[in-house]
Amino acid sequence: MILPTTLLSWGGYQLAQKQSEQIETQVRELLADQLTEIDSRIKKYFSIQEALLEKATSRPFPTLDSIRETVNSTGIIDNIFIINPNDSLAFPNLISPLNQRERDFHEKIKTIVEDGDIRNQVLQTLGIKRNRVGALQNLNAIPQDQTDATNNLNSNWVPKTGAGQDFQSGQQSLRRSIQENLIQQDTQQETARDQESGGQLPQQLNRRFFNVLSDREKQTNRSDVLETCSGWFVWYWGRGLNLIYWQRLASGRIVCVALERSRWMSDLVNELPESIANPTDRELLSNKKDVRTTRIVNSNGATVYQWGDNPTDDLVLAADITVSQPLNSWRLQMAVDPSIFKSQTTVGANIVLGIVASSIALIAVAWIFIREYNKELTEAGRRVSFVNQVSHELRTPLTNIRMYAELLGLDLQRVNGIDSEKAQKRLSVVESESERLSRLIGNVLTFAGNQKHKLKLHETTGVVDDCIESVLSSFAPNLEKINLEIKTDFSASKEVRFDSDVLEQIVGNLISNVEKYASDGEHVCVSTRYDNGVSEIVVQDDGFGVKPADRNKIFEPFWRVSNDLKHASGTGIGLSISRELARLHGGDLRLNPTEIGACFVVTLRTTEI
Amino acid sequence: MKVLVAEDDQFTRDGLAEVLRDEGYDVTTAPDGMTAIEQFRQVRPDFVCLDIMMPGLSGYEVCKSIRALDAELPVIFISAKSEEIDKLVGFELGADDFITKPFSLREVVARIRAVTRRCYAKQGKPTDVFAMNDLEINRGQLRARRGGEVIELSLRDVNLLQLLWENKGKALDRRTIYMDAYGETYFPASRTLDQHVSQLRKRIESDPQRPRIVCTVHGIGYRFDPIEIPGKQ
Repeated sequence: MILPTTLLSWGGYQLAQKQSEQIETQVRELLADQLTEIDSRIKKYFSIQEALLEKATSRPFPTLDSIRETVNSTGIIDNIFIINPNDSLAFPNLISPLNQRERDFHEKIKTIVEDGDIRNQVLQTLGIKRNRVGALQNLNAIPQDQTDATNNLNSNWVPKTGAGQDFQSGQQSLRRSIQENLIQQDTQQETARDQESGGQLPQQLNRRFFNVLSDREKQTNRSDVLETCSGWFVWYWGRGLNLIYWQRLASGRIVCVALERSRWMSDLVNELPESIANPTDRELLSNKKDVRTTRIVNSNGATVYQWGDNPTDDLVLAADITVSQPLNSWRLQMAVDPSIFKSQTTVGANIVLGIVASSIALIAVAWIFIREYNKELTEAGRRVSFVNQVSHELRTPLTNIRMYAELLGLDLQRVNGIDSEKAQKRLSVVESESERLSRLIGNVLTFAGNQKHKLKLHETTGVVDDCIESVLSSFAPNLEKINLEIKTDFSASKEVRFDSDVLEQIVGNLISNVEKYASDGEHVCVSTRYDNGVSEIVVQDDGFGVKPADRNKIFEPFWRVSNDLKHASGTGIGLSISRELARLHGGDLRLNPTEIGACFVVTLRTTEI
Repeated sequence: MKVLVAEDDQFTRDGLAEVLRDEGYDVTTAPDGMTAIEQFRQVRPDFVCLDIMMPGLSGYEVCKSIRALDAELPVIFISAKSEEIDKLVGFELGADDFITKPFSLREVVARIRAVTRRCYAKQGKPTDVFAMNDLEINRGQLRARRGGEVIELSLRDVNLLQLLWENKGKALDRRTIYMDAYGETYFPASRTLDQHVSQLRKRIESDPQRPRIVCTVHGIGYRFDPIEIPGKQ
């Protein structure tokens, strides 16, 4: 009882722990989801800005005014700068007539242009882009034309060439031819755009600015692949992080837009939700105090923006994600009151309590069951004891009935006459019935005794044949009445040690069965044999015998050939007890197959003196 | 041979006493344990039949007291208690046999005869074997033999036959036979002796209608007439 309860409690505790951990994980995942949702707003905001800026930077800038016009057209653009393919600044450059603001801007950005930071990022982006395209192309296996081959320049695909050919030089020549085609296409596109704009700008300025760019382009090392791409460049200057949107045009020029920090920051704050609670959240955190703080921190760990007025000292970090591009150096964090997790563990505690309560209930049920079982056992013991007591009490009057009937029979033997014969017959009924009652009581007591404790033998010295003879003589009158002749063949006349009560009970039960079930026969043959410490008694009748299907059943307790009232009386424990007693005596009782009647063989281990 | 029967049930006690007396024993009875011990001291029986459940002292306690006085005396328990533990205790106390109720007279007689045989053997008395014509009687075994046939005898049978054998050729009157062979002090008016002889003849005579061992002497009693058997003294 203790072991399963302990195991149950331990299992419950483990389950509660696991559930507590699961709940904490779920809460953390929920909060992280909320942060992801916030991040998706940020991402969406920059996607919109990206679309607007792409459009703004895709237009041609034939003159300075066209650049200034674009800068002034929207509040989010702080300024624009354009990098030539040879990494020189096309705008703002000191050759051009710049205003003060543009000169200051030139001072700010010239370092990142000179260091080639943006160029490197552009090249890196191009590499990633090509890899992506190459990987997609590789899915289609073998390239069909030059473009396909170009797209595979950075891939692992190796073109089929002759043996000993230098793959590297082959790739470079292939790349050059593709670059020339691309430059041609790029130039054609830009010319088409210029024509679309109508060419309304002052021709001189337009030409001058364009010539500058054209001259620069002529000097450009056109070994790079000229593809369009765009991206964000993070730039730390002044108050902190600044954002630059860049777009690389097909001509190789990179148009960069520096964003107005205060503007995008204020836009971003406007995009952030005031409250993050939602129905699912409330459901999960039902009845819990919603104490939390959400913040955006920069790469130095400093809080850039925070919402939620709770003091952070008592809060623990529950969720932490990286903000999407271009603010991927920033993190979104959410700190919550640790009681959120503790309160969740009370669910586990409740489970443990429930299991403990169940265990106690189980123990109580088990205790009640054991108590009832013991009560039942005691009752059964009392019933057995009662049967014993009653059986004992029955024995004394039964003894007197038998004894006095026999004595009266002896008296009557001395009296001659018809009346005495009648009296003798009646007395024989009294005697035989009392003997039957004696056997029944004996069997009941043996069975009850066997239920209480193991039976034991009480061997005395005697002759097996004498014991059998005694039993047969007691049955003789009754067997005579039903015209059953007793035939004997005794060969166990040696004095041996055996329990005469056991042998009498076994043989008595067998002869009693003959009387009850073989009354339609004519003979009952009882033979004995002694051989090497084993006495064998065979009782064979010529009655209707035992059906093959019942051969084993007849030794089962309470089994009877028929429970029909018209059939022979009995309790159905005689053969069961007889076999039990024979086995107790080191032998057995078995039913031997015969053609006619039944043949029971009793063997007993009897020690020769 | 003297027997003490201690049994609290009067009918059982009287019945047993009658059976034992018919067998030829000198029976003393006691209705309880204390009386049994007193009777034992007075009578000094050859063996004892004890019931277990008796008022006052139980049969076990009586057995222990008797064992203290005579360690060799045969004791037979006659009881309704038939469980193993009852028998075990009885045998531990030195019981020679354990008869459970209800019993048949044949069973009691057979067991008492067996104990009597063992009594003779234990007491170391010379085995009295005597021949009455073609019948050989073994007193110690309470058996007679004729050829290969074994005939069970009671103590009373043996006493009667021994008396006639010791007085072979002499006619013994009924009173003498009754007093000597039965060990009784008075001669009843009943035909007890004649009935006994009649039953005995059925078992020991080759032809009960023409008895050769227990011959009737009309008007007196009985006599044994030995017949010369060739080759046998």
